[in-house]
Amino acid sequence: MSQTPLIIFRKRTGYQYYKVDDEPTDLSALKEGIDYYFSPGGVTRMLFPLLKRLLQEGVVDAVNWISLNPAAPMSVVHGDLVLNHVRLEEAKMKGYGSAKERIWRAVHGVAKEKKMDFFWEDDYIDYTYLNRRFSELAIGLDRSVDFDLFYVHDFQLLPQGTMLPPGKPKVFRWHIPFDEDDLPYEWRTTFLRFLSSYDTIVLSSKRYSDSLRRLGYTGEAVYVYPYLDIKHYDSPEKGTVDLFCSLFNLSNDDRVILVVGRMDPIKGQDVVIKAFKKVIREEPKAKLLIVGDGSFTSAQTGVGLPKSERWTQHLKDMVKKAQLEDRVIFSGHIEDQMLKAAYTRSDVCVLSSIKEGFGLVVIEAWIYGKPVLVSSSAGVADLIRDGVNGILFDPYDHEALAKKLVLILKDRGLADRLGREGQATATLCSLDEGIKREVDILHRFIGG
Amino acid sequence: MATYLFARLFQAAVGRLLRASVPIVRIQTERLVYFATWAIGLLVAVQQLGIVIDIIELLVAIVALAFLFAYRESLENIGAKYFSDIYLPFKVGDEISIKGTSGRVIEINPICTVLLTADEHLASFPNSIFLREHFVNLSKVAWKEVNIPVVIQNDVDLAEFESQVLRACSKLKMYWDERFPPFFTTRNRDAKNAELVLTLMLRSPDKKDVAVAEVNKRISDIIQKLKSKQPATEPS
Repeated sequence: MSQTPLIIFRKRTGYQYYKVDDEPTDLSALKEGIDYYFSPGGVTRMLFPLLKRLLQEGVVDAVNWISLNPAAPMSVVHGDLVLNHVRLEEAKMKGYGSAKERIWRAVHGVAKEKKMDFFWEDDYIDYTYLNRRFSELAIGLDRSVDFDLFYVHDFQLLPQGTMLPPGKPKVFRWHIPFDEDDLPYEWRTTFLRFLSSYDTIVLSSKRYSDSLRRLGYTGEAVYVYPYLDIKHYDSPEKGTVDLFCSLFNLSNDDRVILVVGRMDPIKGQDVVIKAFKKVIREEPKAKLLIVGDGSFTSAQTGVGLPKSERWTQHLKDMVKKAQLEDRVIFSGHIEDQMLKAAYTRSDVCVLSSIKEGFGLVVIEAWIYGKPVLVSSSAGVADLIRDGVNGILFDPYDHEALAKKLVLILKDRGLADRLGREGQATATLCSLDEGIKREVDILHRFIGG
Repeated sequence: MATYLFARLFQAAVGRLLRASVPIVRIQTERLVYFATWAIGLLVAVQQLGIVIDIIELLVAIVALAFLFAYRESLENIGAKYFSDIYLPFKVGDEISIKGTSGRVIEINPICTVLLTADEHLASFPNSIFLREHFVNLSKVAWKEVNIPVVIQNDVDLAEFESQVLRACSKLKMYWDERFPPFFTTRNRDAKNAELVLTLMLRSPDKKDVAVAEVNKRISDIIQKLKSKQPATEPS
């Protein structure tokens, strides 16, 4: 169960496949890129390969994925994977969206909440309403399918543990950062209650599981580094890379700094722009490529909050003010092959998030042998040996970031070494490793 | 037809009378009255057909008496368990002390309540003892917690019910400790019913009766209102 759907449909109600809501829609009858596209974001990028592999290897017989998807058919079949969608009335969608943003901001430590007022307000009640809709759908499906386990993903669905009935194991995966010092003190009891309603909590790094213990959680908790299907990240054809460079006006002697992530203040793209202003003085050939768009939260076919648009405009205004429009490129969302071309062409990748659950973009960059500069606040910082397979920096210190960027851009030997070591480290986040850990967790609760 | 009408009428009357009671008590009593009315109606109908039912009535009474006598202790414990869910201030997880034994409640089944003592022994007490003997709930702030069991049938939209009850509780915020917002926990969910528990934390112990009665009334009103709307679609 996850808020973010696997697939986002391009067309709204009225298209022919919505006529019969009772019958599942076969995804193979639709066209990727035209009728639908796969959701961006780490959760789906990680979960889909995992589920495909678990089905292929017979670890599981079938998977039902429940998610919020206002513009989608109620049920979509993709092989042995059945996607079930929850829709929500617009008024409640707004309340839900507002509530989950407040939770997200509070957990990331970017907003101070006043005591417990939030949990008594209508927006939180709408958040509870959405969760009840999820649990009712899950329970209904369980009657026909007879699930062995419920695997709930991320903070948007945290209350599921208290809503799904006892008798079936419930595992909760916490994807965003977890720092007990960021969580509002008054919220701790409520959060502990939710977390304690699960049989196991899975977090993305050791620092988060340690934090959970310090919060007072006494149940079972493990950490599993997020993972990617490394085989998916093949080298793009030269023609594709040339096309990419042509589209984004990158010449052969440009030194490309790549930042990949959704458009959100928490991703710290503004810090990179400030650092870039200093970098360009030392490396006049440098260009900054910012790849990313909104998330499901900001999509018009999703929750529909305009946060990403505002942030993108703010960044563009910064670039304009610094007169760097010819050196800073905003690509928006780019297709898979173009993203591979971006990694291939880049000289260095930066994860600048002020807070980050993990940071799969670092793994992606490592797969392509690229040196990385990583915010010390990101979960993936656990894997960085400073100066060996990457370089850490304080996400609030753009001066230090600028110095480290110049160091890497000037020293190609260092860049190559960091990239090679990074490639070796990336195997810790391979799908094979991830599956081993996930199957261990599943086997604690279900036999066979 | 007449029996059906009387059964519905008596059920509705009982529902109104017990509006301020705990929802589960009201619902169970309504059911009991409904089926009792049907039983009486069927006996009357059979009698009107000219069938002599005196022997049947006598046999049913003897069997019932024998059952009550043979299982009186178990029934006492089952009855006590029924009331303990609603009226006795402890639940699984609480630390209690009774008849010189203290421990954490780890199980409450229809017959007995099981405590795990500090030296990891199991102490079992028949439920009926909690209606006769003095006991102490040693858990911190046990007096604050109010647990209201609710059973919702499938003709009520559960998500809508929960939303409206939470809003109603917000309107009664003056009774509750605002550090602990109200929430529902699902105890059981099957094709026909949802068994939930609404947990609230009191601000002041002397307001408990008023606060709980008010919440019960609002829950009953919400259920009635939602029942009179379009039936909820059963989760598919």
